[in-house]
Amino acid sequence: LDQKATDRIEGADADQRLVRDVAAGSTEALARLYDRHAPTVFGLARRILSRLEDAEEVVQDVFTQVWREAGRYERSRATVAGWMVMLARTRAIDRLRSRNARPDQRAPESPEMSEVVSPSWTPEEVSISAEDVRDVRDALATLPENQRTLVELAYFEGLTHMEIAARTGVPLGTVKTRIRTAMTALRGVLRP
Amino acid sequence: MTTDHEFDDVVGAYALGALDADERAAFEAHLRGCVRCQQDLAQYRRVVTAIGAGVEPTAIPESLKARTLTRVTQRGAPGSAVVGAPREAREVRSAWSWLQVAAVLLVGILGAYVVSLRSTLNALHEELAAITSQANSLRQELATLRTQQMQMASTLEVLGATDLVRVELRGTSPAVVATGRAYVSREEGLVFTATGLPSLAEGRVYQLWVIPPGAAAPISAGLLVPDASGAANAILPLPAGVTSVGTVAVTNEPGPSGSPGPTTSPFLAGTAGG
Repeated sequence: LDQKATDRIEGADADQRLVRDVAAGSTEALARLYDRHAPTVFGLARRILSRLEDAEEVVQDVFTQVWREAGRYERSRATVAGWMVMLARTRAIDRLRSRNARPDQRAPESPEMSEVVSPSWTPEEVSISAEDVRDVRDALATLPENQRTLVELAYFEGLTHMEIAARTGVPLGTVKTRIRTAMTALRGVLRP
Repeated sequence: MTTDHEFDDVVGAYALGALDADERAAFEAHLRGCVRCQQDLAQYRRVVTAIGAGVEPTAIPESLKARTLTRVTQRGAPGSAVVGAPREAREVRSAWSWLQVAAVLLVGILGAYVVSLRSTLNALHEELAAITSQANSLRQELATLRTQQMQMASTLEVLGATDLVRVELRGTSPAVVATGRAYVSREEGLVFTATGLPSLAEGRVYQLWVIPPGAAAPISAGLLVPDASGAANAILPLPAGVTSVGTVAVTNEPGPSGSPGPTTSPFLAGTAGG
Protein backbone atom coordinates (compact mmCIF):
# COMPACT_ATOMS: atom_id res chain seq x y z
CA LEU A 1 0.00 0.00 0.00
CA ASP A 2 1.51 3.33 -0.90
CA GLN A 3 2.09 5.95 1.79
CA LYS A 4 -0.76 8.14 0.59
CA ALA A 5 -3.33 5.36 0.90
CA THR A 6 -2.07 4.50 4.37
CA ASP A 7 -2.36 8.15 5.40
CA ARG A 8 -5.91 8.26 4.09
CA ILE A 9 -7.00 5.43 6.32
CA GLU A 10 -4.92 6.44 9.32
CA GLY A 11 -6.14 10.00 9.19
CA ALA A 12 -9.38 8.63 10.60
CA ASP A 13 -9.68 11.37 13.23
CA ALA A 14 -9.23 14.10 10.67
CA ASP A 15 -11.88 12.38 8.56
CA GLN A 16 -14.35 12.30 11.43
CA ARG A 17 -13.87 16.05 11.95
CA LEU A 18 -14.36 16.70 8.25
CA VAL A 19 -17.59 14.69 8.17
CA ARG A 20 -18.84 16.65 11.16
CA ASP A 21 -18.12 19.90 9.33
CA VAL A 22 -19.79 18.60 6.17
CA ALA A 23 -22.89 17.80 8.21
CA ALA A 24 -22.83 21.41 9.39
CA GLY A 25 -22.86 22.53 5.75
CA SER A 26 -19.16 23.22 5.07
CA THR A 27 -18.34 22.82 1.37
CA GLU A 28 -14.68 23.37 2.25
CA ALA A 29 -14.71 20.23 4.39
CA LEU A 30 -16.36 18.37 1.52
CA ALA A 31 -13.57 19.51 -0.79
CA ARG A 32 -10.98 18.20 1.70
CA LEU A 33 -12.78 14.85 1.88
CA TYR A 34 -12.78 14.79 -1.90
CA ASP A 35 -9.01 15.35 -1.99
CA ARG A 36 -8.44 12.54 0.49
CA HIS A 37 -10.84 9.91 -0.84
CA ALA A 38 -11.83 10.60 -4.43
CA PRO A 39 -8.77 8.76 -5.84
CA THR A 40 -9.87 5.54 -4.10
CA VAL A 41 -13.52 6.03 -5.02
CA PHE A 42 -12.58 6.71 -8.62
CA GLY A 43 -10.08 3.81 -8.71
CA LEU A 44 -12.74 1.40 -7.48
CA ALA A 45 -15.34 2.79 -9.89
CA ARG A 46 -12.92 2.44 -12.82
CA ARG A 47 -12.20 -1.14 -11.80
CA ILE A 48 -15.94 -1.92 -11.92
CA LEU A 49 -17.02 0.24 -14.88
CA SER A 50 -15.18 0.39 -18.16
CA ARG A 51 -16.51 3.78 -19.29
CA LEU A 52 -14.77 6.82 -17.89
CA GLU A 53 -17.98 8.86 -17.81
CA ASP A 54 -19.67 6.18 -15.72
CA ALA A 55 -16.85 6.22 -13.17
CA GLU A 56 -17.05 10.02 -13.00
CA GLU A 57 -20.79 9.76 -12.37
CA VAL A 58 -20.10 7.37 -9.50
CA VAL A 59 -17.72 9.88 -7.90
CA GLN A 60 -20.39 12.57 -8.16
CA ASP A 61 -23.05 10.25 -6.78
CA VAL A 62 -20.88 9.20 -3.84
CA PHE A 63 -20.02 12.75 -2.79
CA THR A 64 -23.63 13.83 -3.23
CA GLN A 65 -24.62 11.04 -0.88
CA VAL A 66 -21.87 11.98 1.57
CA TRP A 67 -23.19 15.56 1.55
CA ARG A 68 -26.72 14.38 2.12
CA GLU A 69 -26.00 11.74 4.77
CA ALA A 70 -23.07 13.19 6.69
CA GLY A 71 -25.35 13.97 9.63
CA ARG A 72 -26.57 10.41 9.85
CA TYR A 73 -23.11 8.96 9.41
CA GLU A 74 -21.45 11.23 11.95
CA ARG A 75 -22.88 9.32 14.88
CA SER A 76 -21.33 6.02 13.84
CA ARG A 77 -17.88 4.74 14.66
CA ALA A 78 -16.92 3.48 11.21
CA THR A 79 -13.92 4.66 9.28
CA VAL A 80 -14.83 7.20 6.64
CA ALA A 81 -12.64 5.34 4.13
CA GLY A 82 -14.73 2.20 4.66
CA TRP A 83 -17.96 4.13 4.23
CA MET A 84 -16.78 5.68 0.96
CA VAL A 85 -15.63 2.35 -0.41
CA MET A 86 -18.99 0.80 0.42
CA LEU A 87 -20.86 3.66 -1.25
CA ALA A 88 -18.58 3.56 -4.31
CA ARG A 89 -19.01 -0.16 -4.83
CA THR A 90 -22.76 -0.06 -4.39
CA ARG A 91 -23.21 2.85 -6.80
CA ALA A 92 -20.81 1.43 -9.38
CA ILE A 93 -22.40 -2.01 -9.42
CA ASP A 94 -25.90 -0.55 -9.69
CA ARG A 95 -24.70 1.42 -12.69
CA LEU A 96 -22.98 -1.65 -14.17
CA ARG A 97 -26.13 -3.72 -13.80
CA SER A 98 -28.39 -1.10 -15.36
CA ARG A 99 -25.92 -0.65 -18.21
CA ASN A 100 -25.62 -4.38 -18.89
CA ALA A 101 -29.30 -5.13 -18.65
CA ARG A 102 -31.44 -4.70 -21.70
CA PRO A 103 -34.99 -4.21 -20.49
CA ASP A 104 -36.15 -7.51 -22.01
CA GLN A 105 -33.20 -9.55 -20.73
CA ARG A 106 -33.06 -8.41 -17.19
CA ALA A 107 -33.53 -11.24 -14.74
CA PRO A 108 -36.42 -10.14 -12.54
CA GLU A 109 -34.99 -11.73 -9.41
CA SER A 110 -31.62 -10.10 -9.87
CA PRO A 111 -31.48 -7.63 -6.99
CA GLU A 112 -30.07 -4.13 -7.17
CA MET A 113 -26.77 -3.97 -5.34
CA SER A 114 -28.08 -1.22 -3.12
CA GLU A 115 -30.89 -3.54 -2.12
CA VAL A 116 -28.43 -6.32 -1.32
CA VAL A 117 -26.08 -4.16 0.64
CA SER A 118 -28.07 -1.41 2.30
CA PRO A 119 -30.74 -2.91 4.53
CA SER A 120 -28.37 -4.78 6.80
CA TRP A 121 -25.14 -2.96 6.07
CA THR A 122 -24.96 0.00 8.34
CA PRO A 123 -21.76 2.03 8.36
CA GLU A 124 -21.22 1.59 12.08
CA GLU A 125 -20.31 -2.01 11.49
CA VAL A 126 -17.54 -1.45 9.00
CA SER A 127 -14.43 -0.16 10.62
CA ILE A 128 -11.17 -1.02 8.92
CA SER A 129 -7.52 -0.24 9.54
CA ALA A 130 -4.64 0.30 7.12
CA GLU A 131 -3.37 -3.10 8.29
CA ASP A 132 -6.64 -4.78 7.30
CA VAL A 133 -6.36 -3.31 3.83
CA ARG A 134 -2.74 -4.36 3.38
CA ASP A 135 -3.23 -7.85 4.82
CA VAL A 136 -6.36 -8.58 2.79
CA ARG A 137 -4.78 -7.26 -0.39
CA ASP A 138 -1.71 -9.47 0.07
CA ALA A 139 -3.83 -12.49 0.96
CA LEU A 140 -6.05 -11.94 -2.08
CA ALA A 141 -2.96 -11.86 -4.29
CA THR A 142 -1.76 -15.22 -2.97
CA LEU A 143 -5.11 -17.05 -3.31
CA PRO A 144 -5.23 -19.76 -5.98
CA GLU A 145 -6.24 -18.18 -9.28
CA ASN A 146 -9.48 -20.16 -9.52
CA GLN A 147 -10.61 -18.83 -6.12
CA ARG A 148 -9.48 -15.24 -6.61
CA THR A 149 -11.27 -14.98 -9.95
CA LEU A 150 -14.58 -15.99 -8.42
CA VAL A 151 -14.24 -13.61 -5.45
CA GLU A 152 -13.45 -10.81 -7.88
CA LEU A 153 -16.49 -11.61 -10.03
CA ALA A 154 -18.62 -11.33 -6.91
CA TYR A 155 -16.94 -8.19 -5.60
CA PHE A 156 -16.28 -6.19 -8.76
CA GLU A 157 -19.21 -7.32 -10.85
CA GLY A 158 -21.74 -7.93 -8.11
CA LEU A 159 -22.51 -11.46 -9.34
CA THR A 160 -24.22 -14.07 -7.19
CA HIS A 161 -23.24 -17.73 -6.96
CA MET A 162 -25.66 -18.70 -9.73
CA GLU A 163 -24.64 -15.84 -11.98
CA ILE A 164 -20.98 -16.76 -11.52
CA ALA A 165 -21.75 -20.40 -12.34
CA ALA A 166 -23.63 -19.30 -15.47
CA ARG A 167 -20.85 -16.89 -16.46
CA THR A 168 -17.92 -19.23 -15.87
CA GLY A 169 -19.42 -22.67 -16.50
CA VAL A 170 -18.00 -23.77 -13.14
CA PRO A 171 -20.58 -26.04 -11.39
CA LEU A 172 -22.64 -24.18 -8.77
CA GLY A 173 -21.42 -26.37 -5.90
CA THR A 174 -17.80 -25.72 -6.85
CA VAL A 175 -18.43 -21.97 -7.06
CA LYS A 176 -19.83 -21.99 -3.54
CA THR A 177 -16.97 -24.08 -2.16
CA ARG A 178 -14.27 -21.93 -3.74
CA ILE A 179 -15.80 -18.67 -2.56
CA ARG A 180 -16.27 -20.05 0.91
CA THR A 181 -12.67 -21.31 1.06
CA ALA A 182 -11.35 -17.99 -0.23
CA MET A 183 -13.41 -15.88 2.19
CA THR A 184 -12.34 -18.05 5.12
CA ALA A 185 -8.70 -17.58 4.12
CA LEU A 186 -9.11 -13.81 3.78
CA ARG A 187 -10.84 -13.57 7.12
CA GLY A 188 -8.00 -15.57 8.65
CA VAL A 189 -5.49 -12.78 8.04
CA LEU A 190 -7.45 -10.13 9.99
CA ARG A 191 -5.80 -9.12 13.24
CA PRO A 192 -8.05 -9.15 16.30
CA MET B 1 -21.85 -21.92 19.38
CA THR B 2 -25.52 -21.22 18.89
CA THR B 3 -27.55 -22.91 16.19
CA ASP B 4 -27.60 -24.31 12.67
CA HIS B 5 -24.02 -24.66 11.61
CA GLU B 6 -24.89 -24.89 7.96
CA PHE B 7 -25.02 -21.09 8.03
CA ASP B 8 -21.30 -20.87 8.82
CA ASP B 9 -20.74 -21.72 5.19
CA VAL B 10 -22.65 -18.76 3.78
CA VAL B 11 -21.65 -15.80 5.98
CA GLY B 12 -18.65 -14.90 3.82
CA ALA B 13 -20.64 -15.14 0.59
CA TYR B 14 -23.43 -13.05 2.15
CA ALA B 15 -20.99 -10.29 3.12
CA LEU B 16 -19.68 -10.38 -0.44
CA GLY B 17 -23.23 -10.05 -1.81
CA ALA B 18 -22.90 -13.38 -3.62
CA LEU B 19 -25.89 -15.24 -2.18
CA ASP B 20 -28.84 -15.81 -4.47
CA ALA B 21 -32.22 -14.47 -3.35
CA ASP B 22 -33.48 -17.63 -1.62
CA GLU B 23 -30.31 -18.27 0.34
CA ARG B 24 -30.04 -14.60 1.19
CA ALA B 25 -33.57 -14.44 2.58
CA ALA B 26 -33.07 -17.61 4.63
CA PHE B 27 -29.77 -16.36 6.02
CA GLU B 28 -31.18 -12.94 6.91
CA ALA B 29 -34.06 -14.58 8.76
CA HIS B 30 -31.54 -16.67 10.69
CA LEU B 31 -29.09 -13.81 11.24
CA ARG B 32 -31.46 -11.75 13.36
CA GLY B 33 -31.38 -14.35 16.12
CA CYS B 34 -27.83 -15.66 15.83
CA VAL B 35 -25.07 -13.88 17.71
CA ARG B 36 -22.42 -16.15 16.27
CA CYS B 37 -23.34 -15.30 12.70
CA GLN B 38 -23.57 -11.57 13.53
CA GLN B 39 -20.03 -11.66 14.90
CA ASP B 40 -18.79 -13.63 11.89
CA LEU B 41 -20.49 -11.18 9.58
CA ALA B 42 -18.77 -8.19 11.19
CA GLN B 43 -15.43 -9.86 10.43
CA TYR B 44 -16.34 -10.70 6.83
CA ARG B 45 -17.51 -7.12 6.28
CA ARG B 46 -14.06 -5.94 7.28
CA VAL B 47 -12.68 -8.28 4.63
CA VAL B 48 -15.08 -7.06 1.95
CA THR B 49 -14.45 -3.39 2.74
CA ALA B 50 -10.70 -4.00 2.74
CA ILE B 51 -10.91 -5.58 -0.73
CA GLY B 52 -12.35 -2.32 -2.08
CA ALA B 53 -10.04 -0.05 -0.11
CA GLY B 54 -7.09 -2.06 -1.46
CA VAL B 55 -7.76 -1.13 -5.08
CA GLU B 56 -5.09 1.18 -6.46
CA PRO B 57 -6.14 4.83 -6.23
CA THR B 58 -6.40 6.30 -9.72
CA ALA B 59 -5.51 9.76 -10.99
CA ILE B 60 -8.72 11.72 -11.48
CA PRO B 61 -9.60 14.07 -14.31
CA GLU B 62 -8.83 17.59 -13.03
CA SER B 63 -12.22 19.04 -13.83
CA LEU B 64 -14.14 16.39 -11.90
CA LYS B 65 -13.60 18.06 -8.52
CA ALA B 66 -15.20 21.33 -9.59
CA ARG B 67 -18.04 19.51 -11.35
CA THR B 68 -18.69 17.33 -8.32
CA LEU B 69 -18.66 20.18 -5.81
CA THR B 70 -20.88 22.31 -8.02
CA ARG B 71 -23.40 19.54 -8.45
CA VAL B 72 -23.41 18.69 -4.77
CA THR B 73 -23.82 22.23 -3.50
CA GLN B 74 -26.63 22.89 -5.97
CA ARG B 75 -28.56 20.40 -3.91
CA GLY B 76 -28.68 22.92 -1.08
CA ALA B 77 -27.80 22.27 2.55
CA PRO B 78 -27.02 18.73 3.70
CA GLY B 79 -30.17 16.71 4.07
CA SER B 80 -32.24 19.13 2.01
CA ALA B 81 -34.28 18.22 -1.02
CA VAL B 82 -33.30 18.77 -4.62
CA VAL B 83 -33.81 22.32 -5.84
CA GLY B 84 -35.74 22.43 -9.08
CA ALA B 85 -34.67 24.15 -12.27
CA PRO B 86 -35.36 27.88 -12.22
CA ARG B 87 -38.51 28.80 -14.02
CA GLU B 88 -38.16 30.87 -17.08
CA ALA B 89 -39.52 34.32 -16.59
CA ARG B 90 -41.86 35.04 -19.33
CA GLU B 91 -42.87 38.40 -20.59
CA VAL B 92 -45.84 38.93 -22.74
CA ARG B 93 -45.35 42.06 -24.76
CA SER B 94 -48.60 41.86 -26.58
CA ALA B 95 -50.85 44.83 -27.06
CA TRP B 96 -53.85 42.54 -27.29
CA SER B 97 -55.12 42.32 -23.78
CA TRP B 98 -57.48 39.46 -24.58
CA LEU B 99 -54.45 37.39 -25.35
CA GLN B 100 -53.07 38.17 -21.90
CA VAL B 101 -56.31 37.15 -20.32
CA ALA B 102 -56.30 33.93 -22.30
CA ALA B 103 -52.72 33.27 -21.22
CA VAL B 104 -53.60 33.84 -17.57
CA LEU B 105 -56.58 31.52 -17.92
CA LEU B 106 -54.43 28.92 -19.61
CA VAL B 107 -51.83 29.14 -16.86
CA GLY B 108 -54.64 28.69 -14.36
CA ILE B 109 -55.93 25.63 -16.16
CA LEU B 110 -52.45 24.17 -16.52
CA GLY B 111 -51.80 24.88 -12.85
CA ALA B 112 -54.93 23.01 -11.83
CA TYR B 113 -53.94 20.17 -14.12
CA VAL B 114 -50.47 20.00 -12.56
CA VAL B 115 -52.00 19.96 -9.08
CA SER B 116 -54.30 17.10 -10.03
CA LEU B 117 -51.43 15.19 -11.67
CA ARG B 118 -49.35 15.70 -8.58
CA SER B 119 -52.07 14.33 -6.33
CA THR B 120 -52.53 11.32 -8.62
CA LEU B 121 -48.79 10.77 -8.50
CA ASN B 122 -48.77 10.99 -4.72
CA ALA B 123 -51.58 8.47 -4.51
CA LEU B 124 -49.66 6.13 -6.82
CA HIS B 125 -46.53 6.57 -4.72
CA GLU B 126 -48.42 5.65 -1.60
CA GLU B 127 -49.96 2.64 -3.28
CA LEU B 128 -46.55 1.51 -4.47
CA ALA B 129 -45.08 1.93 -1.00
CA ALA B 130 -47.93 -0.14 0.47
CA ILE B 131 -47.44 -2.89 -2.11
CA THR B 132 -43.68 -2.89 -1.60
CA SER B 133 -44.04 -3.23 2.13
CA GLN B 134 -46.59 -6.00 1.63
CA ALA B 135 -44.17 -7.80 -0.67
CA ASN B 136 -41.39 -7.39 1.87
CA SER B 137 -43.43 -8.83 4.69
CA LEU B 138 -44.44 -11.79 2.49
CA ARG B 139 -40.80 -12.31 1.61
CA GLN B 140 -39.88 -12.30 5.29
CA GLU B 141 -42.69 -14.69 6.08
CA LEU B 142 -41.45 -17.02 3.37
CA ALA B 143 -37.92 -16.83 4.71
CA THR B 144 -39.14 -17.63 8.19
CA LEU B 145 -41.10 -20.61 6.86
CA ARG B 146 -38.02 -21.82 5.00
CA THR B 147 -35.96 -21.56 8.18
CA GLN B 148 -38.61 -23.46 10.10
CA GLN B 149 -38.72 -26.09 7.39
CA MET B 150 -34.95 -26.53 7.63
CA GLN B 151 -35.23 -26.82 11.41
CA MET B 152 -37.96 -29.45 11.06
CA ALA B 153 -35.83 -31.44 8.66
CA SER B 154 -32.85 -31.32 11.06
CA THR B 155 -35.09 -32.29 13.96
CA LEU B 156 -36.41 -35.29 12.04
CA GLU B 157 -32.87 -36.37 11.25
CA VAL B 158 -31.97 -36.39 14.94
CA LEU B 159 -35.19 -38.10 16.02
CA GLY B 160 -34.78 -40.74 13.34
CA ALA B 161 -31.23 -41.65 14.39
CA THR B 162 -30.69 -45.29 15.36
CA ASP B 163 -28.49 -44.33 18.34
CA LEU B 164 -31.02 -41.94 19.86
CA VAL B 165 -30.81 -41.35 23.65
CA ARG B 166 -33.44 -39.42 25.61
CA VAL B 167 -32.58 -37.29 28.65
CA GLU B 168 -35.32 -35.85 30.90
CA LEU B 169 -34.41 -32.60 32.67
CA ARG B 170 -36.08 -31.31 35.84
CA GLY B 171 -36.17 -27.72 37.09
CA THR B 172 -34.35 -26.73 40.29
CA SER B 173 -34.91 -23.92 42.78
CA PRO B 174 -34.68 -20.85 40.52
CA ALA B 175 -37.03 -22.54 38.04
CA VAL B 176 -39.03 -25.32 39.74
CA VAL B 177 -41.79 -25.32 37.10
CA ALA B 178 -39.33 -25.71 34.23
CA THR B 179 -39.02 -29.03 32.43
CA GLY B 180 -36.82 -30.06 29.57
CA ARG B 181 -36.02 -32.97 27.32
CA ALA B 182 -33.00 -33.68 25.17
CA TYR B 183 -32.67 -36.22 22.36
CA VAL B 184 -29.07 -37.02 21.59
CA SER B 185 -27.56 -38.86 18.65
CA ARG B 186 -23.85 -39.16 18.09
CA GLU B 187 -24.37 -39.01 14.36
CA GLU B 188 -27.09 -36.41 13.99
CA GLY B 189 -26.70 -34.09 16.98
CA LEU B 190 -28.97 -32.89 19.74
CA VAL B 191 -32.58 -31.73 19.86
CA PHE B 192 -33.49 -29.80 22.99
CA THR B 193 -36.85 -28.54 24.16
CA ALA B 194 -37.83 -26.87 27.43
CA THR B 195 -40.79 -25.01 28.92
CA GLY B 196 -41.31 -22.82 31.97
CA LEU B 197 -37.96 -21.01 31.81
CA PRO B 198 -38.17 -17.69 33.72
CA SER B 199 -37.06 -14.60 31.83
CA LEU B 200 -33.52 -13.53 32.72
CA ALA B 201 -32.07 -10.16 33.71
CA GLU B 202 -30.77 -7.90 30.94
CA GLY B 203 -27.45 -9.16 29.55
CA ARG B 204 -27.90 -12.77 30.77
CA VAL B 205 -28.45 -15.81 28.54
CA TYR B 206 -29.37 -19.46 28.95
CA GLN B 207 -26.56 -21.85 28.08
CA LEU B 208 -26.89 -25.59 27.45
CA TRP B 209 -24.21 -28.00 28.74
CA VAL B 210 -23.45 -31.66 28.15
CA ILE B 211 -21.30 -33.94 30.31
CA PRO B 212 -20.10 -37.16 28.66
CA PRO B 213 -20.32 -40.24 30.93
CA GLY B 214 -17.31 -40.31 33.28
CA ALA B 215 -16.20 -36.79 32.36
CA ALA B 216 -15.91 -34.13 35.06
CA ALA B 217 -16.28 -30.84 33.19
CA PRO B 218 -19.45 -29.73 31.40
CA ILE B 219 -18.97 -28.79 27.74
CA SER B 220 -20.99 -25.98 26.19
CA ALA B 221 -23.50 -27.11 23.55
CA GLY B 222 -24.74 -23.61 22.75
CA LEU B 223 -27.11 -20.85 23.85
CA LEU B 224 -30.89 -21.08 24.23
CA VAL B 225 -33.31 -18.28 23.44
CA PRO B 226 -36.67 -18.85 25.16
CA ASP B 227 -39.77 -17.19 23.70
CA ALA B 228 -42.09 -14.94 25.71
CA SER B 229 -43.85 -17.96 27.25
CA GLY B 230 -40.56 -19.41 28.53
CA ALA B 231 -40.35 -22.19 25.92
CA ALA B 232 -37.03 -22.87 24.18
CA ASN B 233 -36.23 -25.19 21.28
CA ALA B 234 -32.87 -25.82 19.69
CA ILE B 235 -31.20 -28.18 17.26
CA LEU B 236 -27.48 -28.30 17.82
CA PRO B 237 -24.54 -30.41 16.72
CA LEU B 238 -22.73 -32.27 19.51
CA PRO B 239 -19.63 -30.34 20.65
CA ALA B 240 -16.42 -31.46 18.95
CA GLY B 241 -15.01 -34.66 20.45
CA VAL B 242 -18.20 -35.58 22.33
CA THR B 243 -19.42 -39.04 21.36
CA SER B 244 -22.02 -39.71 24.05
CA VAL B 245 -23.87 -37.74 26.68
CA GLY B 246 -24.49 -38.66 30.31
CA THR B 247 -25.83 -35.43 31.82
CA VAL B 248 -27.52 -32.39 30.22
CA ALA B 249 -27.94 -29.10 32.11
CA VAL B 250 -29.01 -25.49 31.58
CA THR B 251 -27.48 -22.53 33.45
CA ASN B 252 -27.84 -18.75 33.52
CA GLU B 253 -24.68 -17.12 32.11
CA PRO B 254 -23.44 -13.66 31.11
CA GLY B 255 -24.41 -12.62 27.55
CA PRO B 256 -24.06 -12.28 24.73
CA SER B 257 -21.96 -15.40 24.18
CA GLY B 258 -22.15 -17.34 27.47
CA SER B 259 -19.23 -18.77 29.48
CA PRO B 260 -16.51 -21.35 28.74
CA GLY B 261 -17.72 -23.28 31.82
CA PRO B 262 -20.89 -22.93 33.94
CA THR B 263 -20.69 -20.17 36.54
CA THR B 264 -24.07 -20.74 38.25
CA SER B 265 -25.95 -23.78 39.52
CA PRO B 266 -28.26 -25.31 36.90
CA PHE B 267 -31.86 -24.21 36.29
CA LEU B 268 -32.50 -27.56 34.66
CA ALA B 269 -30.57 -30.82 34.80
CA GLY B 270 -31.00 -34.48 33.99
CA THR B 271 -29.04 -37.66 33.33
CA ALA B 272 -29.53 -40.31 30.66
CA GLY B 273 -31.42 -43.28 32.09
CA GLY B 274 -31.86 -41.42 35.40
